[in-house]
Amino acid sequence: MTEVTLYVWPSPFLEPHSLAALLLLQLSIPGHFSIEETANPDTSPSGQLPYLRHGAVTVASFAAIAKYISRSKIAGHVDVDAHLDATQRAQCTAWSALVEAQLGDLVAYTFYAIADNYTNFTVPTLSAHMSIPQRYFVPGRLRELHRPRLEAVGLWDVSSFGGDGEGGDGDDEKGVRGVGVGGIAGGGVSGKGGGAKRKKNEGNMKMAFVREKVLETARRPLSLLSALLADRPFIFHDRATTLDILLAAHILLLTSPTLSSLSSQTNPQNLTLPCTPIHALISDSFPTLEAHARRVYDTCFPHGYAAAGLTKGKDEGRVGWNYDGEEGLSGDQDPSPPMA
Amino acid sequence: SSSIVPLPAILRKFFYHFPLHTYPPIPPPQPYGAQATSPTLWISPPRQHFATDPSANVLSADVECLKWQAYLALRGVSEVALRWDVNPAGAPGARLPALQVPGISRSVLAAREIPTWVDAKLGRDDDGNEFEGYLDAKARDESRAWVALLEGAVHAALILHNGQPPSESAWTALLWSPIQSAPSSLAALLTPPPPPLSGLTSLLPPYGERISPSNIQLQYQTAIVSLSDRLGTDKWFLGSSGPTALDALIFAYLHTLLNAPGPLRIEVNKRANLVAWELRVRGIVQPAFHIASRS
Repeated sequence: MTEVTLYVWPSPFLEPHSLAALLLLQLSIPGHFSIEETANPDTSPSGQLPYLRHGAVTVASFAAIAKYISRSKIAGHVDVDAHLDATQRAQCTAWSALVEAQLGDLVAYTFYAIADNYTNFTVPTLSAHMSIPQRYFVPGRLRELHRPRLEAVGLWDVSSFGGDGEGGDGDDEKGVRGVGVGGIAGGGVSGKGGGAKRKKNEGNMKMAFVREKVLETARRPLSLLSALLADRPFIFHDRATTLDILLAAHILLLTSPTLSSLSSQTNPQNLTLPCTPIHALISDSFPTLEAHARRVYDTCFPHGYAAAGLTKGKDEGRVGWNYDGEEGLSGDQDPSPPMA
Repeated sequence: SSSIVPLPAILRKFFYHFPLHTYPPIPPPQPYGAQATSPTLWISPPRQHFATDPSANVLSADVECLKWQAYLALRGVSEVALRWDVNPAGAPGARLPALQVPGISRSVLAAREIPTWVDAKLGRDDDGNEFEGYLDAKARDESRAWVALLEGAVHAALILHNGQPPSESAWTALLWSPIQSAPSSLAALLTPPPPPLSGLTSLLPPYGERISPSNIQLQYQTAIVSLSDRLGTDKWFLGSSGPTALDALIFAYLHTLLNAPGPLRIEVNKRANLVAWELRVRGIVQPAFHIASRS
């Protein structure tokens, strides 16, 4: 039987769709797939992770993977959305769009916009899985990819309010120097004299304003999702659906980003996120969401991730078919050769 | 003659050759629609505004403008004049639509101020209702999810098909997409954001955007199927007893999609309830507008 191999970002995943795809496959085809952690999304047909290979078929993006798995005839396959009626499936689609858009922005903000997090967590995490010279420029490119969207939604404010006026928009590939939405990172202002004190007061005011703006932006979707979940174990009925999985993946990255229990290897750098304002918000105001995320994870890995028996598969090289979501196969060649 | 210092006779005689004529005052030109007693909505032009009978089509080709047209009509505002000769730079916030209200002030309102104006005009406050016109709090919350779906997957498909031809091949895409120094609107719309065409890990400088048309098409198809399933046989979305802001938004997108390139239109045409719903709502929206006259 041809094995299903899921290619995801290395854990901690930093990207919710990779984690969501892993959770989905664990619920849908447990024991019938393997994972391959890769820091090279250029091997994917879409240039993004996650993607899935099943024999001659390559499927990229979480939506395409979910559709492919739901229609697959892999032994032991369970359709997680089978118990939903047409209206509930439609609602599932709509709510998934909200989760991906608004919670996705919060995840990107946490890992890329907050300077301390980017410098002390994101860059070392990514660099540890990349070779030279990619480790020196790929994290910065990823950050710049997220910037337009975060600017559009008002979650990007890389402003300089360092004590000596330095800092600015840090594009240093080796790490941003203490700026970004530093109001929450606690970027302090140091200086001498009355002018420095005034700057410090202005900086504190700006920090407080930025913090409140971010928390208000986060509170809106979290309130909606908390009301949707209410006091139920899962959103629809008593089983996890694709929406539960997607929501849990985002909440897990916001509350337990290191996911050391999900990683098959220890975290040698012992990295933690320095600044987690949204985690605090979820824990204080929306504990049901955190509990739901944990519940979904425990449903997928009741004995822990390491005990799940997921083994890393081997890259079998190029495949010739892409799945575009239609019945049958498109027959398009995978345009991107595997990177060395 | 009223001067304290008398004018010398020789100067008076000299000035006699250069009489001063005072012409009557010239009144300033009348502002466009100054005599109008109905509100005037500034919009992007309709799709067929060059047709022989331009009054036949008063629905804007821009989704944002059409959304507000539908909002006004579904809230019960009628006899709204339309202009599409206004440069967006002249509107508040440099964005259309804008509403020019009649009266002495003839002020121009930005789109976000339209609901307040409508409430004042109609003497009621639908948005102040706890559920904003929806059935209950659950429906109101669900409407936010549908807005996210429409402004995400559906809007991305619209942008994609209104731009360059989609191509799965990186080399073909390279021929079509020029060097982009500024991120496209899709970069700010898609999540996760599209990677560069040159590759994320490539040593080449980042170039272009690698958009996956098949993924966007898949999400669009799923969105349309979901819209159709959710509408069912209801008169208004989410089972509301009357039209809501969500209905205005959905009408704007459906009408635009039904006039869009083939793949987008075909997908909507497969859903008879959506087509019938759009036709019915169009019959409510279209009569509320007329083209402003230059008087």
